[in-house]
Amino acid sequence: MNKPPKIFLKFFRWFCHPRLKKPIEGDLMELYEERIVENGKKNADLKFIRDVLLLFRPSIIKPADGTYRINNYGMLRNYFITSIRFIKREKLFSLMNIIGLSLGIGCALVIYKILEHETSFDKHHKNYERIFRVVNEFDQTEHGTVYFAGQPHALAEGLRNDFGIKAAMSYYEKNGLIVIDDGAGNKKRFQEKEGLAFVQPEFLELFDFEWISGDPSTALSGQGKVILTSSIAQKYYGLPEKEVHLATGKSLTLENEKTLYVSAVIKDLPSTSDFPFTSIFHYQDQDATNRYFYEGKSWQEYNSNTNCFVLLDEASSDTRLEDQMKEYLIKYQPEDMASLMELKLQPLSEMHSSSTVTRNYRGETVSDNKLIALGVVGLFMIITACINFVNLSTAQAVKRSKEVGVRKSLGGNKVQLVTQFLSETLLITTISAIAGLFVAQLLSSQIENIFGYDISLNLFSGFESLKILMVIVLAVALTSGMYPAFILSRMNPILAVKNSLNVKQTSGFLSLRRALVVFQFAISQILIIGILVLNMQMDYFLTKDLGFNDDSIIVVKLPDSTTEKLQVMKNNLLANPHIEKVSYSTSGPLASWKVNNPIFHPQITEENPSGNLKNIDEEYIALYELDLIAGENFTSGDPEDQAIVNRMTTKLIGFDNPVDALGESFQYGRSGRKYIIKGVVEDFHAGSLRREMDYVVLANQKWNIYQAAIKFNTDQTSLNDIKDLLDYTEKQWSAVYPDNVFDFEFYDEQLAAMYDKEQRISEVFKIIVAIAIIIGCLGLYGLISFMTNQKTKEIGIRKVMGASVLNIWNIFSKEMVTLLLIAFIIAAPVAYYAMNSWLDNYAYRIELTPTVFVISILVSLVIALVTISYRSIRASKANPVLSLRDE
Amino acid sequence: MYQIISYNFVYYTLYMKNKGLGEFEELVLLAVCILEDAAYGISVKKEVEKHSGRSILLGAVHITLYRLQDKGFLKSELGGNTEKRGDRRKRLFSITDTGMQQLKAAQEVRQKMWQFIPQLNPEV
Repeated sequence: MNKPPKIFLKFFRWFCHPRLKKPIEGDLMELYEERIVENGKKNADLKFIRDVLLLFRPSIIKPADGTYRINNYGMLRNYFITSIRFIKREKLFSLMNIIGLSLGIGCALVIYKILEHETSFDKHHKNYERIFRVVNEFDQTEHGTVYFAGQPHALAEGLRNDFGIKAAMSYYEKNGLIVIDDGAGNKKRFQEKEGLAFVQPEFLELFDFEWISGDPSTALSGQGKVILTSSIAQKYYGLPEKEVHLATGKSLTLENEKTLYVSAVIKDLPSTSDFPFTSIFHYQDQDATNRYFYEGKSWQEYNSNTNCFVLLDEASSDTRLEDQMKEYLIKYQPEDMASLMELKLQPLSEMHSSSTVTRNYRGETVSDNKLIALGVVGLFMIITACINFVNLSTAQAVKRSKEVGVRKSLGGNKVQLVTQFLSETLLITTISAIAGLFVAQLLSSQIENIFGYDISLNLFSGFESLKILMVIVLAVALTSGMYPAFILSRMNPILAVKNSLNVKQTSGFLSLRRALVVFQFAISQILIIGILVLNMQMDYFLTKDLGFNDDSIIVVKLPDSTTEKLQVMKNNLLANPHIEKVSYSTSGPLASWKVNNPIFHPQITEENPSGNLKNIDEEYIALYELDLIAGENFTSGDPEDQAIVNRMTTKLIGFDNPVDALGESFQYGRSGRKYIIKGVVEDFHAGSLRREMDYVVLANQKWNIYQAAIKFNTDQTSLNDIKDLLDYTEKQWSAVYPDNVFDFEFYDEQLAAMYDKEQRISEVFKIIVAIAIIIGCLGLYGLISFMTNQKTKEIGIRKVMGASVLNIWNIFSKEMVTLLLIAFIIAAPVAYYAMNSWLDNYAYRIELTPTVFVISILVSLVIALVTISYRSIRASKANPVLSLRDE
Repeated sequence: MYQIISYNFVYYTLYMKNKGLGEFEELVLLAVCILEDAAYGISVKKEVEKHSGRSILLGAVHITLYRLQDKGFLKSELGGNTEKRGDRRKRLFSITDTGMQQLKAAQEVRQKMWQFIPQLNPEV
């Protein structure tokens, strides 16, 4: 007789419900025989296997119950029930465990999501591996090698012609005025603050966009075309999302200069794109907004917003082009300029996280170190949460000892007990993980507000995140469950049932528990010191005397600087008695945007000193209250070759006494003009406090005038008065520039915004500190409850002997304070080192004073004492009769 | 006696409420009726396949047979051996009164509803 595949038959016999086994097996065999006759053995075998596998379903598999149990099901179920009962009985303990773990897991999840977000930038481009940005390596002997990404406009065309590769220039402009004319004479004006891109048509071949309408190959085939993203098209033309394609063919006006037609609409760029474009213009159209465009033919005009991208045939390892480009610039640039730098290729993958080229269109890059640091913090959160769990669980060991004793005397072996406690941990971890999801959701919305990006914590959208969550749950359950499980299963059954844990038996793990608490304390103290230093540095940034006044001043951009217009506006503004002064200049004394060029003078010893040039008028020094220490201010009608410099500059050209430098002339710029020093002002900060002060040259030329500074009368304090003044200013401004959007900022707020990054770091830090402290407190509570459980009898005897509540509280506090001090000894040097090296990033920084450390230890002392007091006072108030009777 | 009857009645109505007849269950039940004394796994499978024209899994048939038995629509007994089956006896199924009632009820409901479909009964 033919036999069906043996292993499957056996499998069937194993899983099948005994009630069904015989008839079904009979049917299977009958079918098998029939099929052999019909289709041959091979086919019958296959069909047999298929049938067996398809029979493997719940209603046919034997139930895991009754006499036919699958291995330890019953026992596992018992463990589960015991765990549930234990959780229910020890509500506070379980709650603390779950809170601690869920905070840790939540934090770790959010950090994981942030890391995932930060590492997935620009990966959606299919040429991701092959796209490179051309950057400059600039060898400065003094400051080491410096990299920057700005390139001359003609570079891409040169590379295309000379090397036959695909290359494209792109220029990014944050500010732009867009006017939409609806045809009926109504004009809508939009002053954009980000998103204007000007790219060569080749750019669209390199990078991928999702096209809603329009043809990629012709979208930028000539000037006068613009590609809009879906959301900006909705904004400009008031279209509903489904009809954005209707924007194609409509027109818009850029900077009141060029009228362009929408040639295509693309989907919004993903949040993980370093190209935050909303409208993409043809490269040649940038002359409307970029004054230094020179028709895109210049080889010498460098601008950090002008980047060049190339597409190579092969992925990253290709260095051939780099070698070829070594001596390339000499072909187009004067020799002294070309020899300064060398062209290098930066892979697209490094554009977001490079530590050498620190700029991209999105803003600053994140360095890998920061990401690693973030990962470490995430790991720390998980570890402290686990420590916490270990502490709390071992604290409960005394309470579980009777149960363990009973289980052991009934024949439960060590492995079974370990399994029991591990499964209990797994249960608690799973509950915590679910709670952790909510924590993560809360946190991520906070973080999203702070960082302004969408980390979209949708764990159920990607299998990846769910997998991570499961890995976290298993890892946490194992690491934090192992130790308590072994402690509990190791107990001597007789002692355990008697409920008298031998001190010797537990002394070893007591010291480990102490070490854990010290570790936790140390972490929270480091974090507390960190946040204190961070806040002090921020305070310093915001309150340091910058050498000028920034109060009651608003700054307004000027679309153009025609002398007549400026004069009319000034007269009208000053007609209001509450407006004190009006000054037109390149920028305020401190600005993020600067004109920098080298200064030449025979007596200069420093190599390539770079000076910061601002064009100002005669009101400027008085308006910003700069301190004129020698010479005179400009007067109207002064010749344009005069300059006021700061004290540093006079020192640079060799005069210790500023007065001696008056009348001296120096050259500004490689081929620039000469200036005669007319006056000297005291040094002031022209850049952020992260950097050293600059050499400053203030000239009174009529070009480069971009901004009006308006100082209000300081006694206008009420909000309404200020609002009236702003309205008045807007009216006067709009009268002169009817086709533009009035856009102002308070100068002090503009300056504060420069430290946005630090501000955001400190916000995030605050959240982390809060969570770390909460977790630390839980761990502390675990330790103190363990101690009170251990010392129940001792406390009873002491009370009988007449000890007061305070006496007993003292016993516990003394130990805690000792632990805290040990933790501090560990934390202080670590924090000192870490914060000092962070502060070294800043040219102007606070010094680390002992106060910071004193505050941190006081804070953690208070927190610790509050935490332990509740438990220890409760223990000391207990009736000694109850604790002593149990024998 | 009275008590027992009333118990059965309650049991029955509860049953009827909760355990309706699925489409596949109905097919299987019908096949069992057709086969009379020869209804077991394979024969039912073949019968349903023959009439419905679709391929059916043996497992599905078995599950349904036992479910119907649990619901009280079928009863079963062990039948004889054949050469092919070795010593594995067949479990032969036959319909119970309840099962028959259920089938009829289902049929009646359909019949009633059919009557009210205007496309199918233009003269009504």
